[in-house]
Amino acid sequence: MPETKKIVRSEPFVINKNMGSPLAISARDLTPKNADGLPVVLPTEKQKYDFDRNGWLLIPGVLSKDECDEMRTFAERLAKDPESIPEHERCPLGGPLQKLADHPVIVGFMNEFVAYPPLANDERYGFRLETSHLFYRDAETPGKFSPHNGNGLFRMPWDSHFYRCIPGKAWSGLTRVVWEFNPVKKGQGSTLFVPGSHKAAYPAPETVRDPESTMWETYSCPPGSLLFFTEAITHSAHPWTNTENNRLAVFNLYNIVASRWHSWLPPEKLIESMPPLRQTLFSEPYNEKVETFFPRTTAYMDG
Amino acid sequence: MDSNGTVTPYIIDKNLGSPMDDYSDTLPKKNGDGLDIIEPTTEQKYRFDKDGWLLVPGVLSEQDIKEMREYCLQLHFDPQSLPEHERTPLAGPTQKLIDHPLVVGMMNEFMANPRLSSPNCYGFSLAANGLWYRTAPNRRNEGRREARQFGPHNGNGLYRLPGDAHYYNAFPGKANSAHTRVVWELNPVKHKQGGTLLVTGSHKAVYTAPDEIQDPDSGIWTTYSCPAGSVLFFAEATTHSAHPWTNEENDRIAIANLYNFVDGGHARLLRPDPRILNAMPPIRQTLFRERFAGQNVVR
Repeated sequence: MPETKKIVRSEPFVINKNMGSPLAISARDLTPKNADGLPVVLPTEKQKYDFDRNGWLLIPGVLSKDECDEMRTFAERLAKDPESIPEHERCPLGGPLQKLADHPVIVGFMNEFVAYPPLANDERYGFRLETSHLFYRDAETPGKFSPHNGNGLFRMPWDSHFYRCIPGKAWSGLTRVVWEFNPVKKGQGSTLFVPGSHKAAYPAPETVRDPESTMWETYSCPPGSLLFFTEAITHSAHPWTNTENNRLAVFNLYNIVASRWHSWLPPEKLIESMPPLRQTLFSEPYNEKVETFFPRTTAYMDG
Repeated sequence: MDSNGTVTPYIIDKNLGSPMDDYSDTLPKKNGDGLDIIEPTTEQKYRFDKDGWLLVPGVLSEQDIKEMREYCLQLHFDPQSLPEHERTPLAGPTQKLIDHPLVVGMMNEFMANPRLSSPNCYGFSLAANGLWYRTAPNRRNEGRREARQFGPHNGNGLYRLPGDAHYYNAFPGKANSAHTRVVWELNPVKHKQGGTLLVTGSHKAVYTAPDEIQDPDSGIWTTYSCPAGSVLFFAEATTHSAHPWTNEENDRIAIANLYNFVDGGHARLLRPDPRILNAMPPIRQTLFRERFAGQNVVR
């Protein structure tokens, strides 16, 4: 291979609250460990680049086989025999699934793309968890093609389906995380995306209504894989046709701290049973002023 | 509101933030050969904007392809047989590619300044024009053959400063590519055998490219296959690269044209030989006018 030029990087200029002074911290300085005490895993340069330019990102095989087996078993009970589970845990935040909510890879990703730095510290996350759903799909309940969203770059502040970016930094409003517990075969029911549509300026053409259009792309993955996508991207369900296994996936939806799109909350008893840091995922949507609010994030003296 | 549910985008005009009036009547409707301009479809606009590139397969007729390919072979291998001032793709049958109806339609959408456009004047300029001739390694001893190395460049056009032509602007319903490449493939192109490499979406990327981009086999890169007579548009704001031609069945014969705004560009002003320029249809000559904005329009 010919000699290549070194690629140089630098910090972005992110405006903080007062007088246009820049934010003095980055994703590396936000919540460093999750509620289980595990160090967060920041996205790689390639993962950041691909998520930003495509609007979605697959990380295959994040969970170990043992973790995935345990979670699949709980998820199957939740789908088929919910009465066997204590009432307050009958949701995809119950049992072993709870730790997915702030898995180290999730926190690292959200610190980069969703978190509000002045509110993020060792004791609270800088982002919120809005909803958690279990997706069970098979030949009898396959789901249907239904394209929606897209064009997030220019949405107004009151619409959480936005995507914002400046040189060196991007933010996604509503951000979906999908944990796949079973194998997913390409074109047999995995979520469909129109890559780049989160930044599209033109309305989608009619061909977007054809699931066979080359406009759409999708993925295959082994069990335990993790999918991120901005809800600003045009995406759709795709009927599950894989006869070798059903689809069993947890769909968690995250948002910025100061906005709320859905009104769902997990049972109060479940929240109370969580480690304190994890409970902050369900904070009220406002910029609560805490001790570490501005002084930590700006060189501007009066904070 | 038009039939597909869109409204006219709000484009700020010169004074006080007022929007431009509907300017569709000011854009040229016919090209230098008197052919009707072909507007990009809704899907073509959407794809070019979201991807940073667009392939339109099979645009040219067999007769056009044959004539142009023969001219390119003569130009490349036997230039002495042509008068000196005609040793350029701006002469001969390839000249008409520079304002092909499809090209004018795309440039009217993605580049033209409506204030510098009229039915007799293009609102954009041609900054460069060349023949890309590439050959597989096992045939490079057959006369004057050329190769190109992998060399990724450009990208991240959304927030470039004025003065850097490699930018890409977009807002709801409208996009603008200030520096746009148009490549006419006059021979078939096989997938991953030498067609231009592109990083889809990189024209709007905000992160610095990862180190993997230095590997031409990385999944970051995408490319195309196409029959002879196809045309590739890409924003120069898109990260792209040459790719060594390995197709042993045919050489790459492509005409590459580079378009800019009327009033500026990355390359020097392209000045064809006056004998070629003066022989062009009047509207085609406007692709080469002096670079300034104020009243620089032929009514």
